[in-house]
Amino acid sequence: MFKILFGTITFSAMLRMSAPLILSAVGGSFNNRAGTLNIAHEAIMLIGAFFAVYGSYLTSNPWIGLLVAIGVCLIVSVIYGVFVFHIGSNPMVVSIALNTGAGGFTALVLYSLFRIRGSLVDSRIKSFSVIDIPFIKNIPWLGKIVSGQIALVYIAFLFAAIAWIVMYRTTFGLHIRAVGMNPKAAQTAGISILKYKWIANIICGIADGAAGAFLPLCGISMFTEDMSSGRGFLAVAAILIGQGNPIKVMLSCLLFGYAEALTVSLQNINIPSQIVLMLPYVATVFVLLVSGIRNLKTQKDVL
Amino acid sequence: MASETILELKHITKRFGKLVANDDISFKLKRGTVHAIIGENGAGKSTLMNILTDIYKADSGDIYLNGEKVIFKDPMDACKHGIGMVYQEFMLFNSLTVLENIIMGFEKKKRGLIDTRANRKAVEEICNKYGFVLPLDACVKDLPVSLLQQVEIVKILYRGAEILILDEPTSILTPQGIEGLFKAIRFLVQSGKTVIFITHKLKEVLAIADAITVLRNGKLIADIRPEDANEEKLANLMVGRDVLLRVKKEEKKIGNPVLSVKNLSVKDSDGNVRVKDVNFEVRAGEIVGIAGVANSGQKELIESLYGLCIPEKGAEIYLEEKEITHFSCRERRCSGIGYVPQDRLHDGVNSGAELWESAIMGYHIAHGFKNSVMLDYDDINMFSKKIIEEYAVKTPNQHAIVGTLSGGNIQKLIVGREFSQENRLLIIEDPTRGIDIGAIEFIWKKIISLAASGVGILLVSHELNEVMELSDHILVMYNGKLYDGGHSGELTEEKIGYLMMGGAHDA
Repeated sequence: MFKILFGTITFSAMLRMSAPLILSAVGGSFNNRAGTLNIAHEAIMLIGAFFAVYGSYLTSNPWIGLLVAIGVCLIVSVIYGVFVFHIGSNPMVVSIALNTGAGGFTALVLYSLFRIRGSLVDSRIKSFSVIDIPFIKNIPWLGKIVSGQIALVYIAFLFAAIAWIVMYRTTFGLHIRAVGMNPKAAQTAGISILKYKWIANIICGIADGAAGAFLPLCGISMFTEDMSSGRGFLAVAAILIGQGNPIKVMLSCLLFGYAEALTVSLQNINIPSQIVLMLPYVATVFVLLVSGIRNLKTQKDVL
Repeated sequence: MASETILELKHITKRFGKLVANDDISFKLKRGTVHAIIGENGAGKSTLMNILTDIYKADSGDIYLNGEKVIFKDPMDACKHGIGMVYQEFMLFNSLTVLENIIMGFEKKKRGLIDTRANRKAVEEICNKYGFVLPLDACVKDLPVSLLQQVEIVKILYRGAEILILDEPTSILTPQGIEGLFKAIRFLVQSGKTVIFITHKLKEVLAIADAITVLRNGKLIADIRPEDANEEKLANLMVGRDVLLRVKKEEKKIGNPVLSVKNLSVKDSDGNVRVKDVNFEVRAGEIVGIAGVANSGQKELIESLYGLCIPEKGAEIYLEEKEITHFSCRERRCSGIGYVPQDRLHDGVNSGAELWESAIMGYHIAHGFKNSVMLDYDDINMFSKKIIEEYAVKTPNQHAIVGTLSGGNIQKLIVGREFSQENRLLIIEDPTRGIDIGAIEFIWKKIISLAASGVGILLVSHELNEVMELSDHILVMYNGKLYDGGHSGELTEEKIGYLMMGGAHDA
C-alpha cells in the first residue's frame, strides 16, 4: 500500500496526469483574473485533442500536431471572445453551448474524415517521445519521477512559473488583475479593458490547445470521443481553488493529478474500481471544503 | 510664472437628446485657487467635469489651457495635460496595496518587471512634498475612507495633475475628516496646484472656496466671491427660489415611549459584537437622531430593531407596552414599525419592477381583496397615485420602471410609502443621502410634520448636520456604544464630532 501511495510510479503518473490540467488551468487563470468567465475548457481541450491527432496523423510529427491544435483552439477562443466581448452574449451560455457542442463536433469531423466512430488509431499518429534528463535521472527516487517525461510536462511547470512572474511582477499582470478587480477604475488609469481581456483570452486558447494536444499525444497516440473526460472542469475547479494565482492553481492541479494517478495504481488491488474512479472528484470536494473553511477563518481574522 | 488663468472654458454646450445638460457655459479658473462649482443634482456639474476630463465631447465650445486651445483625444490625454479627477466613488482596487493603486497605469519598469523601489521612491517624494502620510504597503480594503481619499489625491498628483477636480469629496467624511481634507487642499493650493471643488454643501463652499460658480438646469447662474455670499443666497441661486435651510420646529407634545430598548447587544455574522449593551427610548412625537461615523454599529442596531438579525440574550425591545424582541420582520411591520432603508436602490425598492409594486412593497397584504390572495388593482392604483401626487414623485405614471427614476424621486417614493401607512414608529436611515437640496428640504419637512402628528421617529444618519437639524434628542454611536449627545442645540457640532471619534472616553 505504501508503495502505491508514495511509489515512483504513482508520482511519475501524477506529474503526467496533472500536466494537461496545469496547462489549461494556468492559461485559464489569466481569463479568471481579467474577469472573464470561461468554463469551456472542456470543449476547447477536446477540440484541441482531435486536431492534434489529425496534425500528427498527416505529418507523423507530434509537434506539428501541437501547432495545429493550438491554431484551432485559438480560433475557438476568438469565437468565444467575439461572442462574449463584442456581441454581449452571456459567457455561461456560450460555455455551455461549446461544452455540449464540442463532443458532437469532434465526432462528426472524425466520421466525415475517417468514416470511423469511437476511436481513431493509426500507426501514422506519433506521440511525443520521453526525455531523459542527464544527472537528474540518476538521483534515486526523484530521478525516476522527474526524468523520463514528455516535453509538454516540463513545459507545463515552466509555464506555471512564468505565469506567476508575469501575473505578479510585470505591469502586464498588474493591469490584467486591475481589469478583473475594478474595470471602471482600470479605465480611469488609462488601461484598455478590452485589450487585456482579449490577450488573456488568447493566452487561455493557446494553453487549452497545448492541454488538448497533450491528451492523445502523451504516448497513447489515439483519439477517443470525449477523451477530455471532465479534465476541463477539473481545470475550472483548480482555477477557482487557486483563485487565479498560477502557483496555487498548479498545486491544486497536482493534487487532482495525484488522485487520478492513484485511480490507476489502485485498480490493481482489490478495491471496487467505481470507488477508485471517484477519487479525483472526491479530492475536488475535499479541497473546496478545506479552502472554504480556511477562507472563513481568514475573513474572521481581518475583521 | 505662467499666466494667472490656467484654464478657461468658452461657451460649452452639451445636449443629450432633447435635454440640454450644459447650456453655453464659460468660466475662468485661476492658478492656485480653489474654485467651487455648486448646483443641485442634474444641474450639469458632472457633465461639465466629464467634458473637462474628456469622458464626453462637448457639442460646441472650446477649452483653453494656459491660454492655448486644447482638444483632448481621450481621458488619458486630459490627464497628460494635467487635469485629474477624484471621483465620488473611489476608483481603487481593494485587494491591491496603496502603492500599487497609486502607480497603476503609470508604473516605472526595469527589464520588463515592475521596479518597486523606483515607484516607491517617486510616490514617497510626492507624499513628502504635499504633506501626506500613507501606509504604502497596506491593502486598500483595510483602510478608512478618509485615507482612501488621500490615496486618490496622491494618485492623481502622481499622474502629474496641475488641476485637481474633487467631486463631492466631503460626503463621506466626519467633521474632523473634512477639516483634514481642507488643510490638504489649502496646502496643495499654496504649492501652486489648482482645485475644482464640486459640492452641494454650502457651508463648506464658504469655508474653502476662493471663487464660486453656481449652475442650475445646465445654465451658469452666477459667478460670485465667497465674501459676497452667504448660505441663504447660495441656496437661493442653486434652487431658484427661497429655501429654508433650517426647518422650523413647531411646539409639539411628546408622549409615552413608543420604542424602548434595553440591554441590546448584537453580533455580526462573523461573531464580533457590533452593538454593545445599548439602552434608549423613542417617545411618541419625538425624533431621536443617532449620529456616528459609518460602521460604528448602526447597521446592526437597525437590523436588530427591524428583526433582520437576532440580538444577544438578555435584550428587550418594546413597542409601546408589547415586547417584540422575538417578533419576525413581518410581525413588526404589522405592529406598526415603518422602515426607510439606507440603501434605497437595493433594500428600498425593486428597481427592475414598476413603480406601483414598490409603492405597496411590505404593505401588499393590506392592498389585497379581503379573504383572497388576489391583489386589488383599483386600490393599488389609487394608493400609488396618491403617493406620486402628495410626495411630488417625478414620473410619467405608476407604471414607470423604478430604476429609471432619479435617486431623489426614488427616496420620495419610499418615504411616501412608509409615511402613508399608519405606523407608530419609523426607523429612518440616511433619508437624504445623495439627493438634492430641494428634495432634502421636502423630506425634512415631512419628517417634522409626521413627528408632530405623534409618530416616534428614530433617525440614523451619517450626515451630522441632518441629525442636529431634525432631532429632539441626539445620541452618538461610537464603536457599538451609544453616548448621550444632549437635546437639540445643547452641544455644538464640534463637540458631537468629538464624540463621534470616541472622545467620550476622555471626557
